[in-house]
Amino acid sequence: MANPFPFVAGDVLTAAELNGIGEALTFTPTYTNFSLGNGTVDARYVRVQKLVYVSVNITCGTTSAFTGSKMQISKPVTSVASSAGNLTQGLSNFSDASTGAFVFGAVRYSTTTAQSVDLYNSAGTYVELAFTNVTVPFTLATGDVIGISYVYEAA
Amino acid sequence: MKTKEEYAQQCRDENPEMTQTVNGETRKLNKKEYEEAIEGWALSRWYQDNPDQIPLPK
Repeated sequence: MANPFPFVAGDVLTAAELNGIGEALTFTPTYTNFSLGNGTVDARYVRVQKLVYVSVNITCGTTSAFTGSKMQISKPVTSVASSAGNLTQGLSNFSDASTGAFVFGAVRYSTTTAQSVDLYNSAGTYVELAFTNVTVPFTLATGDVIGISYVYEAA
Repeated sequence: MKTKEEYAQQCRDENPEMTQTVNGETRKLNKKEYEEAIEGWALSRWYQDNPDQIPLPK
């Protein structure tokens, strides 16, 4: 069942509603600067009142591609606004099926409805965040995997 | 180097239709979704040839 929130005064809670708290649900993400094409996505989230945990696993097909700089993915539930605007809220990973390379990154607040899926750049003295691009961390091809997980506060 | 239109045609030729799997359900992309996927892949390949044309991220 769907998450039962919000409860209101006078509600009589059923066992199904109570059991629905924290139950994993699927959602269909939308993307900016990424095209799933003929790929596969599994997107789930768990919500407990205002706390939302999201897990997305994308397996690329032949026509999946980064279509610009800074991939963003929609949230299943609108979040509170972040005053800092760039708070890291989770982790990303990019797996290259052809080379076996495994690149790590961060998932950051972008807007109340979307997260930025970034990666770590270790070229300098300190590790910095960098944006995905059409060839960064690599040109996507069949079997490549993008893993995304993050936690945030719902509006 | 190819134009965006040539990349798009290449993608159409190689993928006369596309399926996408979302949360375990596989379906054929409709015409609008198919063209968006073609355009996305073509844009990606064109940007690889013309990296100075990639818009700065917002």
